[in-house]
Amino acid sequence: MEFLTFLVFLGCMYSILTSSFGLLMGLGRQFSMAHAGMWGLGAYASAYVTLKLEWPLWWGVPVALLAGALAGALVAIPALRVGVGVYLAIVTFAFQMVFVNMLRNLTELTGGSHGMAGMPAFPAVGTLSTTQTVTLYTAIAAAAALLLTHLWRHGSYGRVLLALGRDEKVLEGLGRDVRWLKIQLFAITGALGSLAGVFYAQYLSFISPDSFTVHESILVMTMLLIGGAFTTLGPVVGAWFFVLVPELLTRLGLPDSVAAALQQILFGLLLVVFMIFRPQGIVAPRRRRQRRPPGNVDAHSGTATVGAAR
Amino acid sequence: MNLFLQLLGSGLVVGAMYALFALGFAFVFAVTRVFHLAQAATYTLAAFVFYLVYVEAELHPVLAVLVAAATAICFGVLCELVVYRPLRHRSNGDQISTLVVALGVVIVVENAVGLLFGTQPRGYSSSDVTSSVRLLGISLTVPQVQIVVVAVLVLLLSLAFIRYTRPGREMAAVSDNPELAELIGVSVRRTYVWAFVAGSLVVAIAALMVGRNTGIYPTMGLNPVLVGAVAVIVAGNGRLLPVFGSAVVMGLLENLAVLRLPSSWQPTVLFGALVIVLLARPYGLFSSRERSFVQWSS
Repeated sequence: MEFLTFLVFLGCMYSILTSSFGLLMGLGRQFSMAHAGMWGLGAYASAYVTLKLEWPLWWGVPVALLAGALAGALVAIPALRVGVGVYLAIVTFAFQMVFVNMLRNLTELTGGSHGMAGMPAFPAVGTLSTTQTVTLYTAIAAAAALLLTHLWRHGSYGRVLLALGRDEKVLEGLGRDVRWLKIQLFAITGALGSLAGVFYAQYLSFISPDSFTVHESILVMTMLLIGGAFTTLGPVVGAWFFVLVPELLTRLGLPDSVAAALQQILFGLLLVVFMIFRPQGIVAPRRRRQRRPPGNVDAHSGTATVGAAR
Repeated sequence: MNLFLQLLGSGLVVGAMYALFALGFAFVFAVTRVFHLAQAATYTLAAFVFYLVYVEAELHPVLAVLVAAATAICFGVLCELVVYRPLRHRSNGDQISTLVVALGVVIVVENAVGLLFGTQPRGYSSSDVTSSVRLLGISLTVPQVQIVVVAVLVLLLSLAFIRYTRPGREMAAVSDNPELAELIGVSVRRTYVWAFVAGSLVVAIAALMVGRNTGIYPTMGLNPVLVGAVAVIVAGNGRLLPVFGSAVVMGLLENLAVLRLPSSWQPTVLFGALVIVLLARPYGLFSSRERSFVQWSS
């Protein structure tokens, strides 16, 4: 039962991460390698205020949201200077490395490499155990994130973000403040990623820098791209796929280390095959969007894409 | 003063190591604009093939070097033909897609090697690892000195390759302007393959040199290759001398920071400096606005 709770918890928590990352990468086309950093920031911020500062329990949530939003905005500022594509990837990678390195070094704040343990738990709801309570809250948050992304993807704000990913210059020409939009997008997705971190710290009541490395960013990205970055449900399907498939693999009776390696190989192969043959992921958008022409986007095709999205 | 000299020496060694990765990355990135992070896999493969032939099969080291280099080149060309080229033809070959696919390749190879060899670090023991050289009050091990010498040799040979050979000149032409190169009869496709051959060979050399110093394990590739990529970005264009210079500066910076900060802060210094450099000069340290990659990507 406890194990089942853990699986449900992981599925819901990764859904929050992939949904928020889907807004950033799928909708806004801003490729960040620092999403694990946002997640870790939420975990550490909530743990710090409830454990070290002994603030009331629920304060962890708004503090984490605020920290995530500020960190997202901070990452966005150099992103504005370097533009898009691999440059953004490199800058966000740098932020991710600095973040984990600071977690290791700021020992008074974070407990260093040993991490932090014994966070006070949310009070249990009804007859549920503490872990089940956290899972319940995580599920509610995941549902809220799903609703939010759904509303956005189909609302006018989502259209603007879509245009941001397709061609900034056109959007600028239409009188939108592209810089401010990018900061908003990074801040909102950062806050959502942080929220997942709060629940992670609550469930395990132990966090350490090793949980939030760039490898986790890559994992979340893989989940998103295989599930489908261009729909509301895609990120959720990707998250659950990655939580449940390893469980099926362990039932095959292979030794743990072999099963883990095979699972990684499978995911890597899936990523390559999907990117080449089905870049829209498992859950594809119903209406076929006009694809980007090969090479650089020129002003003309960019206009056409934005027009088609309306 | 003595500490300063010593840090300068080890900074040069680390910088030379970064420079090998940066040169390998620059060959591919400058010509094809593929963000070839799968060089992490090339690196792991070359190191483990050398280990297999030299230590496990106990064959001659020169043979082991040749086999490792050939494996690296085959793998690099295979990446281009089987992965990147289909991606380019499917009209979703933007840089982020190639980066993501490259990460997928790295995950597959790292875990396959881990499955075959285990994840424990191994080393190719040689007698001269512990013997040290003293020079101007700096103490370095023999393999460390060799890294510096080899890095400089690779730089000189690469410059000669680009200047004096036909494939090298074609690579420079395609890097500068692929459409124009195609017009004057250069086969862009073939030049891409050449870029992967050259880049993979340089990374294989890095694998052999660094493996002697630090030992080898399946996940050893991604961090140094990413640092190499960072050096190429910091340099701002694909020209080899600036790339080499940035890599050496990064190694020196990382080590000289120890004068003021505990060594555990090295990653923050290195990557913090990267963010500051890109904020101040988004088109790179040694590049002008017109000649930079940034124009390409945006």
